[in-house]
This record gives sequence, C-alpha cells and structure tokens, in this order.
Amino acid sequence: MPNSNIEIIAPADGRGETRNFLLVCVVVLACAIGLLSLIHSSPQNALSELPNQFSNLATQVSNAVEEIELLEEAELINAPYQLADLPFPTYQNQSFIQLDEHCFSLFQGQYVFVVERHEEGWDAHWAPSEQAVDCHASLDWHLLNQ
Amino acid sequence: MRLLLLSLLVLLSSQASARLQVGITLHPYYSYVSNIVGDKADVLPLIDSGFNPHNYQLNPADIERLNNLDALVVNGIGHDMFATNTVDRLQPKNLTVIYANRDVPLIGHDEKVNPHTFVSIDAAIRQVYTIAKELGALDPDNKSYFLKNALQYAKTLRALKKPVQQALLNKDVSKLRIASTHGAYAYLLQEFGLTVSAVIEPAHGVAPTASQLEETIETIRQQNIDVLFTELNMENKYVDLIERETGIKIYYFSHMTHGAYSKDQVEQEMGHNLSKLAEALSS
Repeated sequence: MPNSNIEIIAPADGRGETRNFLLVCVVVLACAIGLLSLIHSSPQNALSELPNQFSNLATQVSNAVEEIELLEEAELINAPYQLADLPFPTYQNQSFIQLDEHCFSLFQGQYVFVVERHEEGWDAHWAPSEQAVDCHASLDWHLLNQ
Repeated sequence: MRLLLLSLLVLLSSQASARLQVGITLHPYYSYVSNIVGDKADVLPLIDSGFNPHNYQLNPADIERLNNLDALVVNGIGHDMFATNTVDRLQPKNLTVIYANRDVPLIGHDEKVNPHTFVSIDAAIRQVYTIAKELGALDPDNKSYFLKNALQYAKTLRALKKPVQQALLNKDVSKLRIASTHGAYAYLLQEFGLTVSAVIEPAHGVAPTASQLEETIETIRQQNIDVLFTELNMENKYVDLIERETGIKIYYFSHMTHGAYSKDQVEQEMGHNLSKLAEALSS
C-alpha cells in the first residue's frame, strides 16, 4: 500500500543558485583585479618623470656631481667654488651658470637642473619650470633619477 | 723555521679570504668591476659565457656560487632577471646586491624601462661610480683605491666618444633618420643628440613575422630612414632583406653580452660601436 503522506517539494526556481554563482564570480574577479593591481603598482624600476630626451643630460649632471665630490675629497677643489673649476656638462650650447657660492643652475626649455653644495655634500635636482630659478625656488624638485 | 712558514701560510690564506668576492651577471659588469677593483678583489661571473640572458635559469651550481659571494653586481632593471628573481627569492645571507642602475635616469616607453644602460658611455660611467661606492662601503680599506680607479676608468670610457664627436663637428644631424633592430641603442644615441625613429624587432632576438617585416619596410620607406643599426652576433637574415628592399645603410653594433668575459671588453666593443657610429654619421 503506497504511503499517501507524500511531501511535495516545489521545484527550485534557481534564483538562490544563480545568486551564489554570481557571488562567487564577483569574489573571483575582485581577487584577480586585486592581485593584478598589486603586480602593476609595484614595478621594481619606476620610470623617471623627466622626459626621455633629458635622460642623458641628467646622467651627465649626476656623473659631474660624483666627480666634484671625488675632486673635493682629493682637495683638488675647495670653497669658494668657481664655476670654471667644476666639470659640468653643456647641453645644446647651454651651460650651467653660478647663482651664488653654492648654487649652480642650467635652464633648458621647460626644465631647470640645479646642483647645490650643502653642509653634508653635493646634490642635484631637476624641476619643471618656465624660467631659470635658483636652488631655493619653491618648485616640485625631483632627484635626477626620479 | 717550520713555525715561521706556517704563520706565513696562515697570513696569506687569511688575506686571500679577506679579498672581496664580487659576482656579476652580465659581461659589461665584468669589465666595470675588474677596472674598479684592480687586484684587490676577485670578479666572478655568476654563469659561464655563452648563455642567453633572456631565458636563462640558474642551476644548482650557479646558486652554490651565489652563496659564496660577498657582493653581486646586477643590471637589475630587466636584463638579468634570471639572477635578480632568484636572489629575491633566496635572499642569500651575507650577500650584498649592488643595483648598478640605482642612480641612472632611465629611458622607457609605456611604463617599460629600457634596460640597455650598459650600451652607453655616460650611463656606464654612472654605474661605475655607483658600483665603486658600494664596493668601497664593503671594503673601506680599499675605498679610495676603488674610487680612484673608477675615476680613471670613466676618463678612459669618455675618451672613446672622440671619433663620434669629431664626426659631428659642423654636421647637422637633426634630419638624420635612424632605425634599429631592437631598442638597445637609445642611451648611446642620445649621448650624441640622436634619436631612434623606428625599432624593428618585436622583442630582443625575435625575428619579425612576414607581415611585421612588410610593415617595417613600408615604415622605412615612408619615414625616409637613412641608417639601420643592428646587432653583431645575432642571426638577422631579415636585415639583408630590408637592405635589399630599401637600400638603407646597415651598421653593426655590439650588444656586449657575448663572448668571453674580459676586463677590456667594454673598451673594445664600445670602441667598435662608436667607430661604426662615426662612420654612419660621416657617410
């Protein structure tokens, strides 16, 4: 005798499964985007903001700073510093100019490069600029390799 | 007497072990470091010559060598990832990794850095100074010696520019259109105010497909490219085809990552590159 007490289960409309499936898709996508952005946002060698065409000028300025430090260490140059004694590069017939005893600058197009003698030593920077400025101007200064 | 000999041996062996053991990953760094350290340190290629840096994987013997080094000088911006990836993963104790390009203002396109700073004079000098300073920090007794050698080597490298500087005297190169088979020469050419108008290979050592080659030939014709710089020691059969089809003048540059490691490789091969460049500019 078949049991007449049969429980009737309404067929699932699939909404729950669809919701779960979409949720899993969203989580997987979010994880993938997160991981990709991590890889993308931590490049080992970020490119300089300085336009490519100034890369060699910046390199030559950087080399000059090293050489000035070595010359100074060997006591071949001393304060007061004279522009003529320092091995600065020229660029398209433009030369560095001496703005005060410790500040030297080269203005080229829309960029200015400065080399300065601090108490601790020499350093060099570049910044976008519409005009020639001295080492203390309030500009967005960058290291030569940045 | 026996005691004296023994003491002498102990002294000699302790001096030998005190010498810096400096590893390098690519040929130019062998030349740089050898010129900096002179006879005060040992320069050891991480891997034997004849490898392709673009697809090399370190083997256990290389890793053993890595573990015995005091310092490893690396390009670090994409040309020796076979070494930098392993070093990052293993982080060998007592190893100082010297990133030669740390202070170099880099050239790049589309967020991708051009790693060929060693095919250059000024960027090479910048790297030599960085390496010399770092080695001086590891071996303070020889710091002045390293820096003095670095300065002397920079002078030697700079002197190599002379033939090109002479070829450029009173010459207007603003209209000279240059192509290269791959992007290795951007740093070198920029030193002389020259820029590359077209790069042919899709990647280093990868020959272009037939359609890419057709496009290249068309680009060379359209842009009136005057000279093509291509690489020595690479089989570039398609370059001959470009020469035939366009009549363009082709000059061969060394990429400086082939052959035996030697102290004067950079001087020799950059000398060759610069004499070829002078020839191209004079023609």
